[in-house]
Amino acid sequence: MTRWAVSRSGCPTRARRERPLAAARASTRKGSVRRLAVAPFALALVALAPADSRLPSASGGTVLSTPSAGLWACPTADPQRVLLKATSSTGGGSGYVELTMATSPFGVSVSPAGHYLFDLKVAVQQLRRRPGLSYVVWVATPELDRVRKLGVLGEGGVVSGQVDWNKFLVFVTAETSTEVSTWKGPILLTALSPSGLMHTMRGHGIFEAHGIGC
Amino acid sequence: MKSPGAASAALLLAVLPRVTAGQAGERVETRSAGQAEEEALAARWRMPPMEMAMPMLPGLRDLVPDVSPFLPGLGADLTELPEARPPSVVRLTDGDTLDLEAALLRRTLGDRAVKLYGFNGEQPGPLIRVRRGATIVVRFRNRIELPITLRWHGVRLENRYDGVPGLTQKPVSPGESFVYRVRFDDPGLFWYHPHQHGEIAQDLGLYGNILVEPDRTDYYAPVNREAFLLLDDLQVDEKGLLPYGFEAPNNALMGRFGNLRLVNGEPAYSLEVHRGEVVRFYVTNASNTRTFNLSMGQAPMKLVAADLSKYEREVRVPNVPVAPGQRYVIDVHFPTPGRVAITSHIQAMNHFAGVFEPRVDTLGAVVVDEKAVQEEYAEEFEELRENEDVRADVEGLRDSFDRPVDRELVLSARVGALPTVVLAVMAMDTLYYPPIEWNDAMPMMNWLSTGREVRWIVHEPVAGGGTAELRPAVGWRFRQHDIVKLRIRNPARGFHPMQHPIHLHGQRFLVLERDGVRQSNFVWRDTVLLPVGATVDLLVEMSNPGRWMLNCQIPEHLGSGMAITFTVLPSPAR
Repeated sequence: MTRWAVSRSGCPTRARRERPLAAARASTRKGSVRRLAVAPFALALVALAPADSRLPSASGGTVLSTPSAGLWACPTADPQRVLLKATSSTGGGSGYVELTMATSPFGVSVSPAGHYLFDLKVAVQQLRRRPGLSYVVWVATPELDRVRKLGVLGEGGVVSGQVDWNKFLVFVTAETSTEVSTWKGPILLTALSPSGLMHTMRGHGIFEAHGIGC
Repeated sequence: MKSPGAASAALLLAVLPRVTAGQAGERVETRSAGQAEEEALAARWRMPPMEMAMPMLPGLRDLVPDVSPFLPGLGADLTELPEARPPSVVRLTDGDTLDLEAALLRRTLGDRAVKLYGFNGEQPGPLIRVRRGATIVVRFRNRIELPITLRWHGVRLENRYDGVPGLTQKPVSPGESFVYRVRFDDPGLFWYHPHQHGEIAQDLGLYGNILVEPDRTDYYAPVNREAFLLLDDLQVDEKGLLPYGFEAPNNALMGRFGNLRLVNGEPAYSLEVHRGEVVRFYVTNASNTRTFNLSMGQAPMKLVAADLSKYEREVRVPNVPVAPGQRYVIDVHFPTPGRVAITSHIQAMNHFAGVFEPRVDTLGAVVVDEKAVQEEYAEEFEELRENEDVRADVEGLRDSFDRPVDRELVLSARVGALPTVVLAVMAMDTLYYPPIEWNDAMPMMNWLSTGREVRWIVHEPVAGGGTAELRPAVGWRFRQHDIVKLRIRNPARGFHPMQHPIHLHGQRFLVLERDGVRQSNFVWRDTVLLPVGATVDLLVEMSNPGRWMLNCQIPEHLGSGMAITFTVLPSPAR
């Protein structure tokens, strides 16, 4: 039952537990529900929570804090730095990818299509180098439909370049030549851009409690 | 005696006053009972239309924002309201007076008409053109239901006319007037809009441009034509406008995104030009929260100026991202006949599916006809000017580039009694926040959140982490002519970080560094965009004495506390 009132001033007063409108309900479509990466957990969680439940507040009702963080959240990922992880086919190596928003006369560096432009610094260490092999750094979309060569790791183990994708992979392969234009050799190290975390279970802190972790 | 902290808190409360439901203004009962019933139904809370195929989470279905819904002109007959006219051009010289009246208008948008606000029967308001150095008098009369003030965004005017309620003036109540004296020291593109109740009154169309013309005719390169693009969006559904939070803004988390894009108040902007024309576009983002990523097909664009000045050197750009409150001057060459779409192309974020989705909003078009332009400026367009005048102006601050940081601010959100469901769902996306929220990626949660539950805080760094209760930075005092290095951080960690266009009243600044990288092409600004995770070092020239504000330009954030005040004490003239 909808409660509603109009005050003497003519301004409608609020009423809690208003029924949702058809437009809002119509947005729950099978297609979108299927795409939910976290739907089962989200819905279970939401079903458990009373609709109007609120976190306890101070006596004055004005305590402002970050109540959710301690309950469920993993620490937020560093948006400027991700770690390179060694694959099982390698005998070692580690490193990181540093992201900096590319210089721009605007407040944000973005392509005409709306992708962020990041300057990347890829640093690798303790890689057991084998004679005759070159170590090449690549960036690719998560679907691997576009792969670009970022550069070849020199003695310093650092390659810099730019990427204009919002979500991307960085990986290091062992190649027989520095001149390769497509990746052929084994993958030694991989990293996923920070934005990649939002579509994996690791991107959702609640799964930490289930041993999946950050 | 009040402590400085308490006094400052009281001041901030005074700076952000809100009316109560009983003060909602006079309502003229001219409608029939049927109309009244229909209007009352339209004024009930209803979910905003969602731009993406998102599920309505079950736990949110029965909730509405914890404030009263507000719609303009309740009781006024829509058919009797004057139809909004496009902005006129008002040329003023030193000492001239302009009468500016805010009132209710009817605006026809496609096949529907809605009640909006405008100035002098126009929406946007009149385009004011003045010469640099002029002072004009604006007699403002408020004929809308809300108490408001007028802000002269970016103008380094006398403090008492800055239009900040509780700080520089009292709010102008319905039916009352206020006289502003506005002095224009800087050439460039500016805009005027309400400060108080900005999330409602500005969103409903109370804004207009000011073009301050430079002293020299060769200040800019010659062009064939000038055009003004005031970008905005409006939230509507089949019933009309969606209500606004009354006692406090709703959409407090992200600001109010509209689903109807507008240029100069129109959903389909069009400009006709001749082949070969170079057009100078003066771009202002007047929306509450939407950042646009503007481009014009393959037409070559040249970035000329922003906010308060030209750039040190002009640069070719393929697109122009523009945040709320920011202005850009761009020259565009149209060498080929045809239709050039003006678009905002973004990668919208779908939190639920965990993907970015491309979206192109067509804001309008430039139609280039076959007839060749009479006077060709293609050569001048190709030249990328080095602006020695700007460089010389910046030179005076170069000695201060490497000084230590004088002041530091951190931007944070704190939440109180938001529904547990909202907190739980938001807690699930804790590892990644995009630098910019280009779209309303969580409309139901944003719509529910109000300034009663969400507090945006501009505070000084807290030693040892952020567990203490945060309070806005207080007691900042400077001397006129001080050069202040101000660092602002927008941490990626915390509850719902988001980008903030930070606006500094009454002064101008350079963005010296972004994320530790020294900038190389300076321009004088008053509004800086801080993406999530960003740190900027600003070099602020405290040139203008008075009590000023630094705030987020997103009015829902401002209405939820995102502001500090500071004082610039007068110094003897140098």
